[in-house]
Amino acid sequence: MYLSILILPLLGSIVSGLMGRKIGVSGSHIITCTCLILSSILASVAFYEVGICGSPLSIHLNSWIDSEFLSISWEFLFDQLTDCSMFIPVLYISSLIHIFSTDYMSEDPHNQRFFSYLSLFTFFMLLLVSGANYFVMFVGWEGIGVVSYLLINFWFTRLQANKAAILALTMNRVGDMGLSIGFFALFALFGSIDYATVFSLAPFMNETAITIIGLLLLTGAMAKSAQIPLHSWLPGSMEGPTPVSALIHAATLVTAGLYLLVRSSPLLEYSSTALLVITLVGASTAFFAATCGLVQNDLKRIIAFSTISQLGYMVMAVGLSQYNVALMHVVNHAFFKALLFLGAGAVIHSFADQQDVRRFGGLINFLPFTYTCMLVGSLSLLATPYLTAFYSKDLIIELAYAQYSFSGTYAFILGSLTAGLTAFYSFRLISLVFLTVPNGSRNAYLNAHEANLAVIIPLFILALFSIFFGFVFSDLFVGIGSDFFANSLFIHPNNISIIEAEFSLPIFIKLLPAILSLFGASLAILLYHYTPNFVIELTDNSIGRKIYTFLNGKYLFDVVYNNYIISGGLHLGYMISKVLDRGVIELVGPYGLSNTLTNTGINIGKLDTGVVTTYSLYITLGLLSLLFLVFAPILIDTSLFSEIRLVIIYLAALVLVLSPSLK
Amino acid sequence: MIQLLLIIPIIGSLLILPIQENSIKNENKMKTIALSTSLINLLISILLWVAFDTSTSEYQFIYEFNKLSFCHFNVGIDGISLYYVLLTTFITPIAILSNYKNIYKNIKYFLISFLILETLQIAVFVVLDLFLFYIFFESVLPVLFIIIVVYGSGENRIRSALLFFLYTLAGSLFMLLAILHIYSNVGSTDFQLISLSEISLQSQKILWLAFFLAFAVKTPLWPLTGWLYRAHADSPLAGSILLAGTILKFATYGYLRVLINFLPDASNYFGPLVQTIAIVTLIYSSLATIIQQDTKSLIAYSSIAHMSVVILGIFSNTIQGIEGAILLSLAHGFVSPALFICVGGVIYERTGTRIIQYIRGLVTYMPVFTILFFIFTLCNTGIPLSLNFLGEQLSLIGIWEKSPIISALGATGIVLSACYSVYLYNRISYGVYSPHLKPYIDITRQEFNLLIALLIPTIVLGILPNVILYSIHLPVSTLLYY
Repeated sequence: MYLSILILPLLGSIVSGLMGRKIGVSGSHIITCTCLILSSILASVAFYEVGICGSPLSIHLNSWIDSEFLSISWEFLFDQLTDCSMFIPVLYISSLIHIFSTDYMSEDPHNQRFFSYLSLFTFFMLLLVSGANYFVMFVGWEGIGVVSYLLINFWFTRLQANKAAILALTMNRVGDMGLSIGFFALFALFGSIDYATVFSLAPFMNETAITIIGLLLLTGAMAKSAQIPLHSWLPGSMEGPTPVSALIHAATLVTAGLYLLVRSSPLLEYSSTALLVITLVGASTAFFAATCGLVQNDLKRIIAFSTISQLGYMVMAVGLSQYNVALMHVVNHAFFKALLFLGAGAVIHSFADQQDVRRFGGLINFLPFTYTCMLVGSLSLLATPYLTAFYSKDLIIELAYAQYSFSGTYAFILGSLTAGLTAFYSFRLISLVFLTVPNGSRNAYLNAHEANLAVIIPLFILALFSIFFGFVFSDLFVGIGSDFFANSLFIHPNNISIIEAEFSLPIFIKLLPAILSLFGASLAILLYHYTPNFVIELTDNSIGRKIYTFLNGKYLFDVVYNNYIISGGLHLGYMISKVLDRGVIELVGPYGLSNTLTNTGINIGKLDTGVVTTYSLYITLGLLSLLFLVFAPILIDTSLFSEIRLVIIYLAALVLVLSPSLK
Repeated sequence: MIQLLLIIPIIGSLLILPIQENSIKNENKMKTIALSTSLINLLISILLWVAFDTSTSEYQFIYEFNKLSFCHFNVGIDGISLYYVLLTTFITPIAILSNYKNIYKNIKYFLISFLILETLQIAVFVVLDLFLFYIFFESVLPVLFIIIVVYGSGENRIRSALLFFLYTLAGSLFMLLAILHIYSNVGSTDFQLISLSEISLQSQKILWLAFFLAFAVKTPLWPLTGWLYRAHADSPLAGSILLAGTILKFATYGYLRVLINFLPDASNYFGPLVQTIAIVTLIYSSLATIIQQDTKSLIAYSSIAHMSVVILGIFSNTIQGIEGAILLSLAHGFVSPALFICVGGVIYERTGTRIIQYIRGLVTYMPVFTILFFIFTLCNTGIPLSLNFLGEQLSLIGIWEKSPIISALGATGIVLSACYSVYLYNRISYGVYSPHLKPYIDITRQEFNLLIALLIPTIVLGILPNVILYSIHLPVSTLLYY
């Protein structure tokens, strides 16, 4: 049963991709959706067995690599972390997105390909979370990277999509490089890259080595989970179809990095430095992305920045050693972010494929259901009390303060500010799209309509999850003293701070994020709904414009990358290829050699001038030099060294005398 | 059995020789003979693999020919050479098939030269005598020279062929001197005798440098790479396939067999030098690859980068590293020919150009081709589930024990290979279909089968590398330096 959870999406993908012509569009829909739904049902059963009943298991298939003491197997591990925290959101959301896409992509000529990619992506994601050693995980890790390249590139004729896809792949490869080096270090330190071996030996190892490994793993996670400075692929990858954005950039792909960090918790716990860096990276990313999100105008990009910001929260929670809270936020985020993305997709689809938020407005009357869903998603994102994200996001901020340390306070301040900013951009989006005066074209409004059942059902289910999931499951995941995760997570006893977070915080600190959120949300509605002129005036001066450009340009990260790093690399490549390989080496090597030989031949040939006086000169010179050679040692009584010097002087003189004739 | 491997291609070429090259029927007959000969050879080598005893590190299937007083010829294989022999017998039919339909003149001698090349290449891997190794190492040069000059496509092919010839010959001269020195000291050039005799460190160093120069040209290592991309760009497709698939592996085999085996102290002594050169080669050639505009020379350049990772693995002095190097060189032997078939065969035949900028949006008309091209591109970047991935990771894991910095620098290849490979793929396959291209048919069944034939071993061995690893554990463990 456990392996069929993995295999079913792969089967769906193969059938839809390789036999798409035979089974047709609806065949492909039916097969892939059925496979996914079956897989989800099995995962639910697995959730009961593994999670509720607490019986993790591992399946050993075959030996993969067997080289001296490096021994890696095709082995899969189904424990609480894999099954409950990753399988459930990945499979549920993937199934819902499959269903959503049957309608959303129905007019695309490449349905089979699309569904094949979606299922393949799901398969690799499942492989990633169920591998029992780092190499099997890496198969899934690279697999989702490649399939996300294909998915972003789905509309392959668009130049922007091409660029975004290449950027996503190469930037992820930077992380893969870090991760690979991490594997080498792991193997050198532990002699194995099985989870079980590595984690059980971690307490006995040198802390510096573990820090290095932790930072290398973080590099991998930074690229996959879009943390500063490897984040810039994620906003660009919104060029893909909307369901892809929902699948990749909300629920699954970006959480792979988180999964890696959470899975490596027994390792990270023994390196406070690595944890500190992780906290700083996460908190900075959360704040950075939220400020960028404030001024984006593309509907999907706003949500993309919101994703980066939320990922920052999760990474921050990992840095604070609160892995279960991070996981809770992963799951919650998957639900409400998928809801937001799919809602955005429904809006875009029903409104003549418009994506610029400035060209919407007043859609509340046209798309009441979508509006409700987006509102639920946004409220959940805001951590409105008792909605899903409240149980994780708010808790992360509280836990940050409860560390009573520098990094904790840093994370708390940025986290609280980010909460306010999040509220602002979420309600800016709601306000611009649904509430303000209509800004779109008349035709678009005439054709605006609610989507059909295949869109409504996934939205509805996701909305339910966004409202209730946290309330129902929070005690299981993050309740005080819950042993739900058993051995799959490890929090060092010194790092447990949930009790402080619950009982020791001043009431003002507890309420601060909520107050800031409320303030941000009200401000957004006020500014964009009631006094839009004021917003325009705000940026209509030089300082305002500069700040706007800076934020809208995503802190100019792309400019730095493009102008310095990438063009520098290309320039260096050009230099190597043209100046070194085809220049210097060519001149010194083959070309130079043949040239020299030819020229020498020609020059020696020129000595033969046919003029008698020249020959007499040669004869005289020859005679003189011969005499010199014979009598020099007698005339000048010297040692061997000076003799050589004499010969050199003599040769130089010879060249000097002959050089006119060489020309 | 090995003597069969060596003789059958020659018999095949003798059979082809009397046939007149005047009708299509005769041409087909020659092609059939050449192909079936190489396939028979493949079959025999597979039988050899089946009969191979993995529990010993000694040479097996030894055959000694000393009936004539002036001729002593002994052959045999061990776990290391076995897979290179298999690779050769596997690549040769593919090379013959890849130019099956687009050589119009002198097809007879084309086929004959490939059959002879097969014999010569197998001989390089199976001879157990240093001097014979040198002879066969050099003997492929004239044949390839002829192939490039007569059947090549570029305008500069004569210069390319000349460079290829001169570079390799110049490097090998030093090898010849070294072999003569070994002969005068040991009294024999037999592999087993040399490995038993002790060579002082002082002379090992000099010998090592001489051998290294010869192999560094063949690998190739920077700055001796000048011949590779030219020879690739100007040779016919089959020539490129052989060059990338097997001839570059001479160097790998040479490092393992000669440098590590006979000159262990010097190999250890010069380890840092080799690592530095390999890293320089890796990074320089990767950066230079990104800006190539000729598809074939791009892939040729990427070969340089991969081979430098192989070098890192070989000189890591760990079992993982050396096994990884062997795996990676085999993987490169599958993937690089496949990419040459993609760009130099499929695309070049249809569009008539190899300039990347002229080709765009092929996926519109050639979806099946694009899928295969994509998979091979990924394999070239070392994606998990491909043999390249295992080779690369094991090599770098091995070198980590020597020097973590070198290993980390070697890992930059992971990023850079993705940059150039995906750039090539994306540029050619995606985007709006170029208005200057005609609508082309998708790949033919023959091209498809060729590519699939190369894909299957890459993936299967990527998932189950133990098939190979089991039989190279023992010979590799004898190469370690203590």
